[in-house]
Amino acid sequence: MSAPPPALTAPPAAHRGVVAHRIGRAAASTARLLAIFVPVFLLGTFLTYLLGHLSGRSPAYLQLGDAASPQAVAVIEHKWGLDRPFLVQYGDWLGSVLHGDLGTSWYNGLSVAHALGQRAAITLSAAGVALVLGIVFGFLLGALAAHFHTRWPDRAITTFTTVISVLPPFIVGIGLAAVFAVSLQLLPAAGYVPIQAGLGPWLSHLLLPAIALSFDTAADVARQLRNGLVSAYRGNYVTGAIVRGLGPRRIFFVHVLRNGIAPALAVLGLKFPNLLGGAVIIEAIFGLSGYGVYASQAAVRGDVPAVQGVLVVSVVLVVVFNLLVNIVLNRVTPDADRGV
Amino acid sequence: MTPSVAGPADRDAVDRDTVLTLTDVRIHNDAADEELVHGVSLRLRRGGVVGIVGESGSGKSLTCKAVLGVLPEHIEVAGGSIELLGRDVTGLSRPEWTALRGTSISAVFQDPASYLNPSIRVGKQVQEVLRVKQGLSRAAAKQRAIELLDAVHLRDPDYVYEQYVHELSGGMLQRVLIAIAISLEPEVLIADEATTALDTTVQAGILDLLVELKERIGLSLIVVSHDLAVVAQLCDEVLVMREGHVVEQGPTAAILHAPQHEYTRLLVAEHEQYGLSAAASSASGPRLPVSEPVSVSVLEPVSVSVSVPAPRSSSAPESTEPVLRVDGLGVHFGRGRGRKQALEDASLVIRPGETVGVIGESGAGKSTLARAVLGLVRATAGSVHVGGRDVTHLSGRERRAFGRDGVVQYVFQDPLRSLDPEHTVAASVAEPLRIRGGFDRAAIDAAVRRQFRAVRLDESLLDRFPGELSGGQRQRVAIARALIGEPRLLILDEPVSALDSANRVAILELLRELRSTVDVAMLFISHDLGSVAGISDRTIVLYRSRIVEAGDTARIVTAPTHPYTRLLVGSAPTLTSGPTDRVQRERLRAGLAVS
Repeated sequence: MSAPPPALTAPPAAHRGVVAHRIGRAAASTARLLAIFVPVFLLGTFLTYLLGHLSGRSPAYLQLGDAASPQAVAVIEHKWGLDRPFLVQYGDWLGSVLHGDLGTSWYNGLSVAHALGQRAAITLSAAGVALVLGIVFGFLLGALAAHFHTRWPDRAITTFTTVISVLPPFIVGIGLAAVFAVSLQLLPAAGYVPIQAGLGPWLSHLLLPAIALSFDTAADVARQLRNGLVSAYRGNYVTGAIVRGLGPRRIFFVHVLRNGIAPALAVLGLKFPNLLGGAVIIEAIFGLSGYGVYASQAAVRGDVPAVQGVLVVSVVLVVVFNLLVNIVLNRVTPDADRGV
Repeated sequence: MTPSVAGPADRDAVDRDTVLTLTDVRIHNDAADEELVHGVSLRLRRGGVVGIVGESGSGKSLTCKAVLGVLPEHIEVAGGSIELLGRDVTGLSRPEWTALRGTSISAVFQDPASYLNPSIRVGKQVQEVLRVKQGLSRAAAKQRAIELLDAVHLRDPDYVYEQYVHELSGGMLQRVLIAIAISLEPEVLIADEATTALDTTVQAGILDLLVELKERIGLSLIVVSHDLAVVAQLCDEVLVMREGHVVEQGPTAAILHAPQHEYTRLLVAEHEQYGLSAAASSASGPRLPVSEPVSVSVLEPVSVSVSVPAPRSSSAPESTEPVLRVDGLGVHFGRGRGRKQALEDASLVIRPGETVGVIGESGAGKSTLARAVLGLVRATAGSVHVGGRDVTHLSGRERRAFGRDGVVQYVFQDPLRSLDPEHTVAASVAEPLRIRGGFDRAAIDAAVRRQFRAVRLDESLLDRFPGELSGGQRQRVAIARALIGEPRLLILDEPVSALDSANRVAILELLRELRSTVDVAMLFISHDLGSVAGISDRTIVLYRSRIVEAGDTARIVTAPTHPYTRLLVGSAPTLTSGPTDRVQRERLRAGLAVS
């Protein structure tokens, strides 16, 4: 190899300029992040509260049943502060939400935040494992299909992903439970063990629901990644890299993956709400008392504060996840400039 | 995979001087079972330059791709041999190619932005090659990368290093690509349309750089272009290709002065009839509609604008009322710190039947001027009069009525994108009359046929769709559509820039003819001085949003006064430019950078 040139002597002034520039960029992107998060959060919580208000539900009917007299209803509504103007109620509620207090259940008078906190761990475990499975298998299948594109592995993977993407999670869940839990008795069919009890038991209880949940994500990620990679391979910069004498592995990992991954990442952002929503059904099948079950029970009972609590947590989770996706996207493909 | 027939002793003698030899290279498309390139032979000497000229589809790019081993799927070298540094490369394996590329042979292409990874800082991409192929450390590779960026005359290499592709101009990106291409000191560099679609002055800069590199580091070049002048400027030997055949091959001087093949003669004629030399030689000769001479103030600094005084209406008869009169027109976009002045204090007058050329680099404000005349962008200063009527601040309703009248019509660069693909071309041509209303079917049909004849299109094409026509035919359709409503002013925005040589000449010829047969004034916008010079009575030079020079076209071409115009005239590729121009351009560039 040729002799290395003399050591790098970067002018310090220029270097400081670059550092200041980078800090400036980081500050600007943090500001933009907040500028997106705050309005979405405010709008989301406002609509959430408005929905509860418009439902016309009242704790009085929940507690008094058929015996509700107008006077008794008025007394209970006053107790809950529901006779105040709507905006005052919303402001009050938002204030407590910001302090982590999601209010008190009309049904049993218990703290919504506390009840959700216990259950969110279960749901997030299931959704999180499903997300990881979806990403790993989606990326593997997508990359394989792109590598063999138009040949038989590509067609096989495309067929497979099409089939699994149209299977509803509850069917897959029941099928998986029937095969792996009932027939083969490899994994437990129901229940949840906290992660403190050990990684093995925790995962074994979550694996089947997570697999059932992950199918849709894996299929969509695989398809988007395949198409993204195939079109990235057609880019002139790939020809450019070949002509420069770079090897195929380097071209794939440095040049193609980076430019072809964006649609798959964007799809992940869209899939996350589905994972949370799908958890509601999957929890019912696998006997997990997660927040999906809590939400559906609260909705049936007309327990407005509980439903609002679930919605607020979901809004925050989804917005935060999408912001994360956008931050990653911006780092991966800076030319797209998505604002955040 | 032809084994070399030369003995070892002969080979050594040839090897010392020759870096690349193509012997009867044939390229075949296996999927369609059709031969695409029918035998190309050439010999590139160390430090030599061989040019390949031809339009798209001539096989010139395929030949380059074969030499680089990057032919598309199903397309293969089916015959002949390609010897790079004495080694036949037609049957190399993938790892062998990977080792060879970059170190022995490299290439730069058209549209430099697309050949760099958009997601990685350009400096990192220069560094990458050095680290991967030469095993340099991160710091050493960065140091070397910045040296290379400096070597290709990028003004601030440390700054350029940190930029992404979308933050740099086409000319800068092509320099970055050249820096990457020469980073491993290859023997051969292929420049495949490397300056196409760049501004004239930028193109000259890149070509100058290639010549400099050839002289300084002994690079051997293959220069591929559709423009004979680009190739003529650089090359010792030229191949002229058409439809996969080499139709003519020989020393550059012989090709230029005694072209044998009909196609080569066309390429030469394009420059002689529609280039700078044509405009200069016609300076004393008669021009079709002779217009009054326009006084032009000679100016030194860039920041002074030239206004072309309009004739006093009292002294001029009714008929010379200008078709277009632009006074002190200014356009800016954005507000506050983001405010960008796109056009400043532009004044010009076009009289009936007159053709005025507008020339300038991309971003100089050419299209902004045209769009402001049409009211597509809002003028922020000055006024626009069309046929004596102030159209600067029309209301939405007035603007639509003005558009329906079709006093001003527009022809775009890319006819494929400006014609509705779902309409037959006859329907597209008829549209202006339909929009105006009051014509019956027979009248419209007759008018369309008349326009087809006027633009020399066969009437059998009436019911075709744009996708079924050639580029030249489509541009004729676009011109027919623009003329059918008998406009007084036709704005042509880069009308021939997307066409190949033959079509460019034909469209320019058509426009010249229409100028004498149709009573229409034209505003002809182009970045190519040759096309502007070939057709315009007067020419306006835009530079950095201002008119820096205006006057008789022949005068602009023969005696430009503003430094930018002088650089532009000196940069336009001609068949005769020599090495002295390069030094001159160097000086002018330095002068412009300071001002």
